Amino acid sequence: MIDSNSLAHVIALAPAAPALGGLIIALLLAARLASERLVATVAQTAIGLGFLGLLVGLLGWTLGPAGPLQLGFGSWYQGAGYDFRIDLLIDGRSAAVSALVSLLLAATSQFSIAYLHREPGFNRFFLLMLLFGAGMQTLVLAGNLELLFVGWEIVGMTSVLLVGFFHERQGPVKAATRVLVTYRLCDIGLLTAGVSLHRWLHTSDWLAAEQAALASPWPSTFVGLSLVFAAMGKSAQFPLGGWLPRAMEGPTASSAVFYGSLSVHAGVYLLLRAAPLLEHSWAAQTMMIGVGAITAVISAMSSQASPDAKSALSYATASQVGLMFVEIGFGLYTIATIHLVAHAMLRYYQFLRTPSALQDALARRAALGRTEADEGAVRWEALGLRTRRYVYRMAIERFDVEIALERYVVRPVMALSRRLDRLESQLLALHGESERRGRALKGDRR
Amino acid sequence: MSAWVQYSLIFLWLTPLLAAAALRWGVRGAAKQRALSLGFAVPIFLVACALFVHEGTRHAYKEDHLEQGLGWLHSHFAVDGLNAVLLPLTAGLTLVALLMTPRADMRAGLAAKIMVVEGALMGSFLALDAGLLSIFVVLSLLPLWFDAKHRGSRPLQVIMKSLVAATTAALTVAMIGLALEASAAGVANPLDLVALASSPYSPSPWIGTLVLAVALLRMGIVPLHLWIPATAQHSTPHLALVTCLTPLGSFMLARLALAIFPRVLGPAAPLLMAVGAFTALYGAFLAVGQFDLRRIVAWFWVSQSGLVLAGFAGLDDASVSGALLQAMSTVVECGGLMLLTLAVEVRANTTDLRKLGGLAHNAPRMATAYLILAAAAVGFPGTISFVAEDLVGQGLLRDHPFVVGLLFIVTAVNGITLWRAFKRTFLGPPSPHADDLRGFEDLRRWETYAIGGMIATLLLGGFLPEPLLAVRRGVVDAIGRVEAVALTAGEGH
Repeated sequence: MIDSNSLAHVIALAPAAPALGGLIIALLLAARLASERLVATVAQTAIGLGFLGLLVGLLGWTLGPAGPLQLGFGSWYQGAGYDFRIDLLIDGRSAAVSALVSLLLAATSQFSIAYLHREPGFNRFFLLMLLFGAGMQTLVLAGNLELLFVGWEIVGMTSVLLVGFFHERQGPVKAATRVLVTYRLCDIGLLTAGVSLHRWLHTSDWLAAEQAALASPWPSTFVGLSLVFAAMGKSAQFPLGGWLPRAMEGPTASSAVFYGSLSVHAGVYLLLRAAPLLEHSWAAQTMMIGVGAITAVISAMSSQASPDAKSALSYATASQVGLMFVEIGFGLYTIATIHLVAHAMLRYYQFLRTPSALQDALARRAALGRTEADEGAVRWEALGLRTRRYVYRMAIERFDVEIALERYVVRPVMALSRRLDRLESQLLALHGESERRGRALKGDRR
Repeated sequence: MSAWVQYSLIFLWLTPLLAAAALRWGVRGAAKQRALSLGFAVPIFLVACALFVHEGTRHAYKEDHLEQGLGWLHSHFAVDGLNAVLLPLTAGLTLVALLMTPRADMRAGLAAKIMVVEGALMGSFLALDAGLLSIFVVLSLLPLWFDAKHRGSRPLQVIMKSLVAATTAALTVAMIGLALEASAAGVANPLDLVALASSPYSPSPWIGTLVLAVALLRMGIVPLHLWIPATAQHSTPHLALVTCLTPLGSFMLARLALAIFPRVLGPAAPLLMAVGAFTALYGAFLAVGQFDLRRIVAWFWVSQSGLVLAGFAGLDDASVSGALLQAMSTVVECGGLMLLTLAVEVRANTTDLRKLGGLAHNAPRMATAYLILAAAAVGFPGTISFVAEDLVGQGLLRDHPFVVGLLFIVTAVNGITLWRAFKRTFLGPPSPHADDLRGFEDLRRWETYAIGGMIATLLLGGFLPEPLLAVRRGVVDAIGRVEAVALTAGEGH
């Protein structure tokens, strides 16, 4: 049996090896020594090492005493009673999701070597993928909310950069901005939850907070709603889900591993991790159920009305993630975890397969004259024509959610900013004007 | 104290001033001026670094003093926890600014003006004498004022004149009042900060209020902020950079207001907290709608100054540690972003976002550097700002959870602002309104090294923040006194 110190170091390879691989590739790029072959070797070695470490660690954990295992690596920094701890938490949930992350990263790296061969951004993709892997593993294995936030931010930034991978085109860049804005706004929820846990429970450590929440009074509704808000953004839930179909602007491999299978489930994982705390708030649970159900319905309809395959898949993904929110809201954590892992695997395959599946479908349509999609359309004919048109219009316009956000949130903020700027400019001009006027008056007197 | 430390305390502020004199009256020609200014700036930077390493690596941190003269003719310089980090920071920023100033812009004594600012800032940081510190503070503004006189913008001239006049008047009255009061109270060296801090005498609140007002003015706190965006947009850019984007305001707050005027700062803390939070929000909302890269950095600076002020006003060990760290990191981040902005301006002849776009294709190094600095500026994990913002948040949390929530919104909005600036400058196709940007050059070798050094500083400090926090521990301890006074005042009411 492996002692806990060795176990900690072995499991730490899961986030550390990809991070180190990313650093090496960054240095190779800076020194202009990065070739496709070298970068691919570094990436595969790093991912393989992380995977191996995780497997050995999880094996050691399963052979040891039952129950969650907290592994400490000391503190990053301290300041006046505050201590940023680097702790990993191994339990059934983190073990399953962490293994999934490693497995999908390994498969993606293998797929991408051929898929992105001679692409101008080959090296950049592998750098971002490794950083994403390190962030995702940190998020999953984090023993406290602060460390989870570190992983959360790395996942967010790398996701944004991958959406904008083809940066010469306007579409991916706009999509990346959309993703970033959603992520940044939802970060407020996670940060608020983190500091609130410190304020009222004096810890953000998952296990300790669970105990403290039973012993002392704390604003469970406020913290719960903050966590759900954070998860809504990351997991593309109503009304913040507009970024997901746009995120498909990146390379197929990144769509598959990041938005189809891993990144989009980060919010679900957060809720699963914080589930013992969320149980204290019926408002948070109701919100999860409400948001999840609305997303499931409208995303399913949008998926059916989507004209392109990747968008249809992304809406279907959001719809399933909505169902996971509902499951967590009802306290069905094991089902939600199984749903998460199975859904991630399915979507990963589907996203990778999309380009070739589309070719197959077109070939089939050419041969048979009809496809499954036509059969789906037939089912809608049971509805009246006006209803059908209305539902179709709403579905294709994504139920006007984005138009409403643009009209009632984005435009007012930008208008306020520009109005304030005009006011500032007038103030500056007034300074000059008053001086000029003073001189003119003096001149007149003379 | 070792002799070289003693000489360094004079060398660091006197050399730049002598260099400025030589540049102004001794050397003609842009190339020679550039070479000579760099010839001075490099050793100043090295000495500042050596002093930081020598002082900062000690376990038991003690001040090194150089005290001369008596009474009113008294000078006192020292290196301590508060200024040890700021010395290499200022010297480094000046060096990078000189390196990245195009040769053509070296006309009209720009190098001399930059060196005067460096000398004045170094003097301000090193002086432990309130009178000398005040002189250096005023001196640091004069180059920008003279520069404004030669620019066409009348609002800028009026603002700079008002800034210099207000700073001079407030500090003169405060210093005369302090000297008279302290002499009457029996303090031997009435303007010596160490003597004042260790004596039972406590200056009148109006003196502290004047000094506090100058510190806030220098930080760019709303409504005293007008000069920051005005100079960023209308002044000679590299000079504005080394004058505006410096932590002198927060330094004055820590050096003078916290240590000498606890009776003012303690009761005023709630008001300062509100003003700081409002400034942070105001700056963030103004930055998000801007179309000019220079103004974006200026408003971002204003926003960050608000965050620093809120951290100081928290009067909590963690929040003050965070504020000190944030004040330092913002200089590097905003300085780096402004230098890249100016590099874009030199090459594209504009900083208007509507006329840029797609520069990453020609300038990948510049784009990468901008992205990393922007991420660092909004507190991405692994950078100094992450640690600083976390500490400020944790420090304010106990008594001011609402302010913490507000600061989180500020951080989110600032992140969106800087990404938008990055996106519209470097990504996508070039703007249809842009001039031909096909010949846009990437960063040159020296520019890459300079910006790379700034990024390395942010990352190193972010991954290993403990030494930086340890250096400032003594300063943070001083907060205990202010907090005690604030509590006493609260009980009195």
